[in-house]
Amino acid sequence: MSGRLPIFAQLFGTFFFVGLFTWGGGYAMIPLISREVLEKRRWLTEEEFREALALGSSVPGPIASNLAFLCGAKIGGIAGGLVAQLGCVLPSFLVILGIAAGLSRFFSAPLAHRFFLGAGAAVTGLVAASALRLASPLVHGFADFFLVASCLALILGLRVHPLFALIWAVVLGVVLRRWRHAS
Amino acid sequence: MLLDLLQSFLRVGIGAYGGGMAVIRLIYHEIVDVQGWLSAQEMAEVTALAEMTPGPIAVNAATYTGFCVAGVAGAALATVAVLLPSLVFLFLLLGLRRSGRTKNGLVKLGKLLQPGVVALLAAAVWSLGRATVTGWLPALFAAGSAFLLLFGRARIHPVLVIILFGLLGVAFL
Repeated sequence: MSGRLPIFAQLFGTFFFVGLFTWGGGYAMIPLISREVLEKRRWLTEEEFREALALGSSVPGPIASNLAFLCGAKIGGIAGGLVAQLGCVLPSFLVILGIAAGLSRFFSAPLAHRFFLGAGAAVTGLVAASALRLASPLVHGFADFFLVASCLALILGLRVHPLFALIWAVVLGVVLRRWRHAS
Repeated sequence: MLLDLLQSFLRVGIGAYGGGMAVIRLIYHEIVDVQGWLSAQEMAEVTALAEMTPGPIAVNAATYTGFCVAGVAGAALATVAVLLPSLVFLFLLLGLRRSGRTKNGLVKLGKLLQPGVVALLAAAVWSLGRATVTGWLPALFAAGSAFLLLFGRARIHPVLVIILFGLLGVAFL
């Protein structure tokens, strides 16, 4: 069946499926994308997939939709990339509109309010866990700690736009690296 | 207002490095701190919903926030705006024929950005925590969910953790 559908329809369908059935963000989507694109469809080789993964995570934007674009572009050029990305993002867009439009009355119910009090606290813990997981291989000495702390001070203390904190991280990171090489 | 929304989410899209959770703090800055369109508590709800619905968290959070601010049009606009910068980067990248040097440079840039991403996550913990940790019980919930995700047996799915504590919230909060 898959052989007869035009390639754009296949791209759209595959990434729509991926977008619909992966919960928990972009990193949770990678295994499913790899299964669809590498094992089932054989659109990319393992080497190409690894390269797409590296590229997709080194530009801004969600890794999953970047990966969808790069896989699609490999098969069908820029248009293929756009079709794949649309397929990847459309399910969540529709689900959210459905929830927001259909269940808005439900959200103001006291029961839902208590659910989100608990869920919100859990999300705070979740973000803390991902911060710790990312920081642990990264922060080794005083210099690394100072780097992170100075970015945090910029965001929370001086209330600069978080983009400037990211730029500051790059600039200070380069300086620290030079300094380490020199000494 | 739609123009403000567009600009806000274009900036969010440019800074969307390091996974969905770091993006939360960027959206928080634009929508809660600068524009005041949502409260900190509402932003925590949006974050929980973005995690619980399928798809990338950054896109989900943008769609939800856009909808809360300006309905269906806002949702569509925010979604397109948050993805547009990454598309521009990818276009340029494909245009450059992916020379080895550009690729190495980008990977290096990604590494240099990581401390900043850690700071974004830590700042998100602070902002979300102030809105959600309102007593000792929610504090216990937050600590419990972090503990489960860091040390839980056989990596528990985050969505299950959120639903679990949501149900505990219905029971105890």
